[in-house]
Amino acid sequence: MVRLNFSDTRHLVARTSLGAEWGGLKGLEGKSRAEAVNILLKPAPMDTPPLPRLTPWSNVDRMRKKNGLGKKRAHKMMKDEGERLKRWWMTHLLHTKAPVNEHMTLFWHNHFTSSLEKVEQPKLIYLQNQLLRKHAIGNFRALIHAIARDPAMLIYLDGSNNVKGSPNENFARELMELFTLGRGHYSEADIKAAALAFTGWGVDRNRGTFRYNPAEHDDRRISFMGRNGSFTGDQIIDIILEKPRVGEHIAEKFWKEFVSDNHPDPRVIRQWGAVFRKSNYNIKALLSEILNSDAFWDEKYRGTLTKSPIDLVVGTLRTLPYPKLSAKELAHISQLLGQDLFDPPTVKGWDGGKAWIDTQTLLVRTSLLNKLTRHSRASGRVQAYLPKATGNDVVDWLLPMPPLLPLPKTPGKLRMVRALILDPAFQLK
Amino acid sequence: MNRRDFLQYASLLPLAGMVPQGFAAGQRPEQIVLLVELKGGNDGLNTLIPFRDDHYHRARPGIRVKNAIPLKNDMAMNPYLKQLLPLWKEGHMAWIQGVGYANPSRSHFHSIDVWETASPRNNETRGWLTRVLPPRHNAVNGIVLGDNNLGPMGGENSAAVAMEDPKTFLRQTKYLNKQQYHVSNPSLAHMLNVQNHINTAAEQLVRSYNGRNSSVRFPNSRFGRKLAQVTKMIINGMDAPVYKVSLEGFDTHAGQIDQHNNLMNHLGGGLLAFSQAMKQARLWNNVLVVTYSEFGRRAKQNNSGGTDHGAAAAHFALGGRVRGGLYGKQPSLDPHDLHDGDIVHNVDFREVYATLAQRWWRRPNPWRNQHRPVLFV
Repeated sequence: MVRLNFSDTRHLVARTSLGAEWGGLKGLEGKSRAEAVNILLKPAPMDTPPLPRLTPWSNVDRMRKKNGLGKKRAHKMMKDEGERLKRWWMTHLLHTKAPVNEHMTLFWHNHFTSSLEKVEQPKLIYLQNQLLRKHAIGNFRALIHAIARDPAMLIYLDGSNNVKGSPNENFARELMELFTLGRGHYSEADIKAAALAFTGWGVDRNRGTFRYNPAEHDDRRISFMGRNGSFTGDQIIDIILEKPRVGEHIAEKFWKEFVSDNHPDPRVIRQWGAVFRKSNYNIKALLSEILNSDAFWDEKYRGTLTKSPIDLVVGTLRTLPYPKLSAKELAHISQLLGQDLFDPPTVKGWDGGKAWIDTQTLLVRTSLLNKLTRHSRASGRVQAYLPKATGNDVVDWLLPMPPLLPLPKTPGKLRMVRALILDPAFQLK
Repeated sequence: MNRRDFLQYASLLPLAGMVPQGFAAGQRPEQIVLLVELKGGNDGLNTLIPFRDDHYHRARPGIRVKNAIPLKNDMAMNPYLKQLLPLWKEGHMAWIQGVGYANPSRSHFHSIDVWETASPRNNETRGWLTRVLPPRHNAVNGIVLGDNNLGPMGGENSAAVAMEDPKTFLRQTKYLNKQQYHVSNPSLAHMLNVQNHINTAAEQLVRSYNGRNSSVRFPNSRFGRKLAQVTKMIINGMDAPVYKVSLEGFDTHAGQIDQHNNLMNHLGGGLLAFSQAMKQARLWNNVLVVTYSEFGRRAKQNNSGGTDHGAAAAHFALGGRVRGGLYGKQPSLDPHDLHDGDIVHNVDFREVYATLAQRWWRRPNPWRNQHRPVLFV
């Protein structure tokens, strides 16, 4: 049986968690792959910080319907509250005791995207975020049924405008193209049919809840993926989930998230997809399959993924006790780095991978790390926290590969750690 | 330690032969574009004004422009743009009327994304210029001043840099290591390539930063200072085919007259100074100034003496090689022709981009027959 060495533990944790604390890695050293994965996926408390005050939509709506000025003020208020919500999530990311679950919450936020910009109501975005957190390593079938009636999603993909006589296909299209099957595995007729099945699904905006209006539902017989009948939205989802392609589509996304930017071997994807489907879409089962696979541990893929802004910002601060920047500043930095939480750029979410790095973000990344590791009042705390270990162990802890730049000649733990963090290899995982 | 390859960056050589004329690295390009973003959604109808159209006056009793400067075909220019009148008379100013796209978005963020990525379906993350201009090694394709957003030059394979101002940028880049490596890890190679772009830009910037200033006086405003910085880079031979600056404050929902006039004055004054500096440096034929904005504004004024988010709008181009005149057709303001209160575009914004690609840079038009160039240059 393969026993994990220290570098293996970093590989596992850096790709599935948020940062890699020394102690956490040491705890996994010497375990088998299966044991380590089990420890990692063990449930942990998911309590989130206290929610900032979010004005009820009925009040906002009254304000914005009053006049031009009221509209402007309401817009500003929603914008401010949205910013507060971003800080709230940033705070949670920094302190959560369930970093793997949170990593997956962020993953699903990038799969079932919705943005404050379009939805406008921070409260609804918060509720969606809690939904994603609850199901993050739970059941994909339950998650997708819940997402289909999630108020923020119904607004984001115009489901709430999808009514009898005036269908809106936006949600039906993305349900198949992005959420489950991927392009090329459904027809335009399937989209039209599915849109009809979801008519009448809407939002009670004042209460911020799902609302089904039978009068707006078009219950005519349709033909969907070879089946004929009058279907509900839930039945449409279940028909889609019968297709083996769903498991493969999700497996491909997991490949990109956990293994490599390169195209996956189709055989691997078929196998992972089958495992996922047979488990009745148990996300933990899929994760466990992947993290135990040879592909995940393959040397050729180590250190080839680019850290996301959250990996970089939150991960570094969870790994080492550098001075904690305010949540406001962190949210702003993450935005500058191209990952504006709750505001993904398109319905496809963030491209991720190499696209995280451009001329603008690389400078911000470098400046941030410089600022964090500079000598400060916190240096003593960092110094005290640093383990008594060999230089090689410290390299294995912080970098997925040997440093590209020469290490400092003058000895000193702080200097060494700073050099490793400023090395280009630190941007990878 | 096999990844630690200290070879020189070898990939530079085979590419050199493929670089088209005018794109050789290290010297000032022959064709430069200055993009001016009018942030917030410029009121096109009060910029280029259909001053003889009764529908215009009826839709905007409180905010109509009264003493507009007639140009041609019943169209007139906002009087606060009068500093650009000499350029119009020289035939160096082209107006493109009714620029927009189908099913327009009224969201600032969404619509500016549509413009900058040239994808109304919002399924493209690369900026349109990233697609038009080939990536170059050891050279940058563009510089964004006063904004941290690369906008039209963003996305994968972008070769542009964004900076608040050259001084801040040079301070930030000093943390970047300057060595070049050849590595096999593709993510690392990408990062080092980006780093190389930044270092190249910084190297050249230092040169122009220490170079001479134009003797032309620029307006003492944020916009004026940014144009002065662009000017300094151009006259000192910076190798970048695109510059982008922006003027902010066009989201005129309330009490718009003074605010908009003021912006027009800044725009006209700044660009006049820019044209003078370019003429003085004998580079006026080498530059093309083009404006853009996320949308125009609603035809009818609102109840607060302003205008709400709209759709199509007029934009203009300036330069020594510009063929002055009015292009495109002014959209009808007849309430029956409006769509949801908005004027309907006659020129797709990608036709303007196609013009820059094909007629200015002599590059392939990414939209081929779908969007043909407008002949203003």
